[in-house]
Amino acid sequence: MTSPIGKFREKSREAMASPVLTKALKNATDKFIAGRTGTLPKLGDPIRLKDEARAVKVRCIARLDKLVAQFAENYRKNGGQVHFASDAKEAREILHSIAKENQVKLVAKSKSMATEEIELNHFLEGKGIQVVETDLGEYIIQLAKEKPSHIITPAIHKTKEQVSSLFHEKLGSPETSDISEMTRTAKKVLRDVFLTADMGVTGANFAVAETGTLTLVTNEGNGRMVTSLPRVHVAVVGVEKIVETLSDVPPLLKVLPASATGQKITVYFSIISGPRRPGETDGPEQSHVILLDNGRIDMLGSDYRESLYCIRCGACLNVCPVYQAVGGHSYGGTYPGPIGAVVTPLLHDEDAKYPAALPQASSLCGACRDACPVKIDLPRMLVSLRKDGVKKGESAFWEGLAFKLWAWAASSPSRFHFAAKTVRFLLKVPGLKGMAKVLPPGSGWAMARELPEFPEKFGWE
Amino acid sequence: MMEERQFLQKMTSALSRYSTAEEARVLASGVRPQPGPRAGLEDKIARFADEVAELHKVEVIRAGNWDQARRHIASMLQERGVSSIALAGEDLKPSLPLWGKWKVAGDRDSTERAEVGVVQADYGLAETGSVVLVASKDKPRSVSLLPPVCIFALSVFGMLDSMAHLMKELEARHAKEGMPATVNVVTGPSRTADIELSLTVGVHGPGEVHVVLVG
Repeated sequence: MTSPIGKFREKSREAMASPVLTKALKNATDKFIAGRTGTLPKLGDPIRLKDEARAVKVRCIARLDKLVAQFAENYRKNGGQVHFASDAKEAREILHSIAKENQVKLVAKSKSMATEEIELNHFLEGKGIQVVETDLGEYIIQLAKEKPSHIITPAIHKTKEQVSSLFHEKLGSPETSDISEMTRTAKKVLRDVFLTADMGVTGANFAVAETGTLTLVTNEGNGRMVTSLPRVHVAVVGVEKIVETLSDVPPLLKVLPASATGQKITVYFSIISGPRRPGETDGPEQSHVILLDNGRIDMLGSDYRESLYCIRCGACLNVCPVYQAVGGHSYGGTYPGPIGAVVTPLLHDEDAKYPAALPQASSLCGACRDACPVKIDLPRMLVSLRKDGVKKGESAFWEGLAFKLWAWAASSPSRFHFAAKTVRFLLKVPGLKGMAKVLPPGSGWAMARELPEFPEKFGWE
Repeated sequence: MMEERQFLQKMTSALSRYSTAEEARVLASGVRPQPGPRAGLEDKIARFADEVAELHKVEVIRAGNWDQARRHIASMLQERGVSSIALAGEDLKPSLPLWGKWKVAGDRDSTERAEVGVVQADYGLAETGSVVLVASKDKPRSVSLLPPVCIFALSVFGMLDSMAHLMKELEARHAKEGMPATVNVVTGPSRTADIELSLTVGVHGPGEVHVVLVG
């Protein structure tokens, strides 16, 4: 049986063996890092911008129960309906019952990590409801039957040649190397989806308690389409997205696109407060919000609360040396990268294949913490998750044994001296040092490190 | 399904189990986000024009009044050889004789077929060169969304400094008459970089936008 960390390593090796993926990852992460570090200073002092954004999250998350209640009340005042889902299964069932009530046959979706988390598409398709992703990257992933590999650009692992043959195979369009032609092909197919869909499904980037408002950040315009054209709009929203007032949004909105794509502002920022008003000729006739727990409320009550400050910008992925090397799919869940390594073991991510391994998928270098626009201390939580893992007995057998031996040896001077002399003797045995580098259990640690030279005489000898 | 009361109680009890010194400090400080200082109208207009040039890649067109603006838009449409348009906004009423030369969209399907959407914006944001569209009876959402080209017309008196000032404006509106169903802040043409991070303009929304500033 392969351990969780073994499975992560296996997936990572596969990923690193692909030169195409390695090149795509380097290209993307370099570009995003340059975008972020170039744009933030144009908007103000980056340190102050981050402090202001974090202060909003700290204040709002600290009284999230009240804000959720207030949001629900005001969203209803605006004419919308509010539902509460404790886990992914409940969220899917609520969504399905709304779809059934409204005889929905076709759902147009705008990019949303929350709906990825609850594995909505497969479920609805199983119920005979067609679901189409309308963000170009998500659409590509859906056609290829894959998961997103990056929070911001889900199809970052695909080359244009791969996209071209995918479109050729699934949509019958001619092969091309022209990216704008591929975009036009997708636009044409998806325009029909927008016009005929009965229901639009989105997430929300921020939700506002005082006004019962959802906000959406998009560049392509699909977010506007699915909240303007279908007769029913449903938003699946993690509870942590709620802030108190509209004025709380700008400090977060300022750092989000800058940290994500390096844009000063996205092309579209939609501020949606319920269904169309009387006399209006477009906009949904019916609006629903599904507020999602799925592990978030437990995080709220623990020292992982800080991970709820995340605004899903992807900056921590781009700077992470592990993500840069292994890509998003190696994490085996919905959320990759350092933030994924923290939230995947905590959320009830049904799709996560080896959540227990993810806190190990880090060198604890701290680049993620420095890049985070709300200054989430990800390394602290990764260490804390490792501790939890040890308590739950999730650590490797050899690791546990080694530390027990160490504790036994180090807790008495005579045992310590004996152990040190034994190791010094063993390292002198010809060939043994070389073997330690290639044989388990020590090889994983030793292959990239020099074993120490022991002195002829220890100071205490 | 989980009851609302139960859900909220679970949150309250989770919140009571854990707290940080940082939270205590932030809550005690009472500090709330504040919009920055307001600039004068001419400064805002100059900033807006600069940002539009940078982000939309087009020059802002100035018109002295709405009559001039409409005539300017009409000549733009004529020059392009456009035959079908969609209109939205109080000062761009389809009933005006000026629009008689064009097939003017009356519903969603004809809006979808229109070559150009002409939309009156409610506010502008100087800091980002954005236009702000508040959905209403005479301003359907689809006019600024479905046609491949969009011309925005905006009165200079709607010019705000930044997103933070827009939020203050919407908060005041909310207190007085409730929130509008939808407000869209639009900055430039629809774009994507989802294939190999290569920037492509005009994916779902308009690929070309122009801004006429009135007054």
